[in-house]
Amino acid sequence: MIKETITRIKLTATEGMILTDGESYGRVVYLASGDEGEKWYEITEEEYNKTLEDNNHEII
Amino acid sequence: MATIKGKWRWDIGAEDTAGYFKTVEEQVSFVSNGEEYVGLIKTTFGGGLEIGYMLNDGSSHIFIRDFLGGAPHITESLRIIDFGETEQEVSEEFYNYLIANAHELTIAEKLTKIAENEQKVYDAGIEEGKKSEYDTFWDAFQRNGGRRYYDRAFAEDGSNHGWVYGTSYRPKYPMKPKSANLMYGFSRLPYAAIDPVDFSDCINVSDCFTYYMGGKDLPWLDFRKVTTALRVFAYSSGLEQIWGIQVSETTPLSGWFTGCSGLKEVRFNGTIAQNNVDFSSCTKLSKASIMDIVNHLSYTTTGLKITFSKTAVDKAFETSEGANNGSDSSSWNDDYVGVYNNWNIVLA
Repeated sequence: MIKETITRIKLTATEGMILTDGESYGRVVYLASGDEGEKWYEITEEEYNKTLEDNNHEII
Repeated sequence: MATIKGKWRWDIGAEDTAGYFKTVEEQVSFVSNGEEYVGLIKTTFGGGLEIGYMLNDGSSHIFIRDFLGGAPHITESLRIIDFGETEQEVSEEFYNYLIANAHELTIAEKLTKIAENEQKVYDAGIEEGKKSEYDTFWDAFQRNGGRRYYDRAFAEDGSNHGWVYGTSYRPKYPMKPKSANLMYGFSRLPYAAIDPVDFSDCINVSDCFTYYMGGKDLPWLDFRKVTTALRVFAYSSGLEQIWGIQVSETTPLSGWFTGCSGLKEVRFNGTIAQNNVDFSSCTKLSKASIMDIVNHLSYTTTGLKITFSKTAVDKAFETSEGANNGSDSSSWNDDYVGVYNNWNIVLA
């Protein structure tokens, strides 16, 4: 039997900010085991809302 | 062992609430709604019931599914099952279940059913003289039953809705699309119109149900062979429940649920193993649905992301009524976050 303790990093956005890796957006991110989170950074909620507007599209 | 033959009809609301999870499979040949089946699978769990008819390729069609506390979903076209005229050996357990929950059709019922089938084309609303118009249109539209590319076939245009279930929408042939891009986009066709469509061979379902306005429910959807699938249910804000989605490890799920703000219940079958599964718009997603989604995530793939609405998780896993603290709960963190650590889990 192998017993291991797995560490998982949890990122929590600062008040008024949103976490993103350029693709996904959230207030809390549980990184996969072994991931150090270098891809994630914070943006303001205004920037996030602007991104949502830009991503809305019309079906052609 | 017991023997069975002939045509049987399930009684309404066939129930067997064993109170615990139990699956019973019976290998028996029968025909239902023109399709040949090789067995029947019955699953009971916690007051719920599901009866499926097994096809030769391992897939199944669901006759009854009743496990979400609401009205059971019954595929009426599968209510009659025909074991044929040659007696088949079945288990005593299956035979006893059948005689308790179904009855063999009498001669009178069989004659009525034959008459109904012969009159199918002359249903109310189709006058005698317009039969040829019906055949002419649907033979052409469905290429005498050979049409496989149904891209935009029943998509609507903004506020214009030409397809109305039971009148203009009366497909003559079964539909088994190979491509269903925007097939029911902006559609108001109800559940009963979608349920008979067989997606099991379909490879493209991009925008298939985008801006769907046909009701709160969508039926079981077999997307196991899909390779192109953008925005499948996007912006269907009135959609509350998808009875089931069959996926495979190669089924892409990116953008499926964008704007599905009303979605409460969804169930999966198969393994979710593609990136950017996004339920961030689904703020009303139930605990049972979140649990089901997570339990179908691949154990082996790495570097993938799944996003849930933090509002949904906080409500679903809250430690007491109104606490909305689910994302801090041990249930969420220990049983899900702590287990599926090969996935990046984002709470939006």
